Amino acid sequence: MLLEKIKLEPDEKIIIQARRHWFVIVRQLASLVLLTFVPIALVVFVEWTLRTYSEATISVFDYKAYLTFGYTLWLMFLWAGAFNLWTNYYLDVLTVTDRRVILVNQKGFFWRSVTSFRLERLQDVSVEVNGFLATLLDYGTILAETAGHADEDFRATSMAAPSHLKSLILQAADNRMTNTHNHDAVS
Amino acid sequence: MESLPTIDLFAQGAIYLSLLVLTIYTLVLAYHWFNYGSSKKTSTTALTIFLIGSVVLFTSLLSSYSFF
Repeated sequence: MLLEKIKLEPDEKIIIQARRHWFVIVRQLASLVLLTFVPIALVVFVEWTLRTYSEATISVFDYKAYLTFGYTLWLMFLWAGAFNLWTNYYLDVLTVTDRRVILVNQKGFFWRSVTSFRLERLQDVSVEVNGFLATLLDYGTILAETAGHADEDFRATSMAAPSHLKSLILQAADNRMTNTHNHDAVS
Repeated sequence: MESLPTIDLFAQGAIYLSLLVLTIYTLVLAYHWFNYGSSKKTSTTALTIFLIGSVVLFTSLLSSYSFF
């Protein structure tokens, strides 16, 4: 599973594991639900055209078995697509531990990126909430700036409760710095 | 309704192809969910839902073919 892949250090504790906001997956799935009606609309349109503009007695509903067959194939395609979306959504995880921040981004099957930085390197965390729905539902982008990697963006998009996550990351970074200084002072 | 040989051949091809695609897709999904998922229970649930839905759709495909 994921935690075995991340390979946590001894005594490293997970503070939070967060995913993107539920609205992201609902919006994507809603478009698939709309697509289920496309063949029905097409059949109705063809039937209407035949009845209106053709004198032939043929009807598309004479071919119900073929229509059902084709529609079921279409549904299977959408079913697989829905699971592709769900997989991409669910396997994207932002993990904050007491030592690191790890972002796993599943971009597609066999295509994923894992970005991480140690809390000691954190310089700044910012949150972008852009749009009416994002404000209403409380989701947005978390951007982290780290020392030494100015060109590399740490970007977690459409995260739920981004301000809460930001404060958790900053708190964890503060605790980490305090622990590191205390450890240095003792030794 | 008497089915045309070409349509029949196409339908049979579509059935075998969809079965093959579904099998491969299920394996790919299982690989990702069980390797990169954060909980075994959620992964099993997701895969079970996918399999149930796929079986229902495939059965519907076969039954509509029987009416050709």
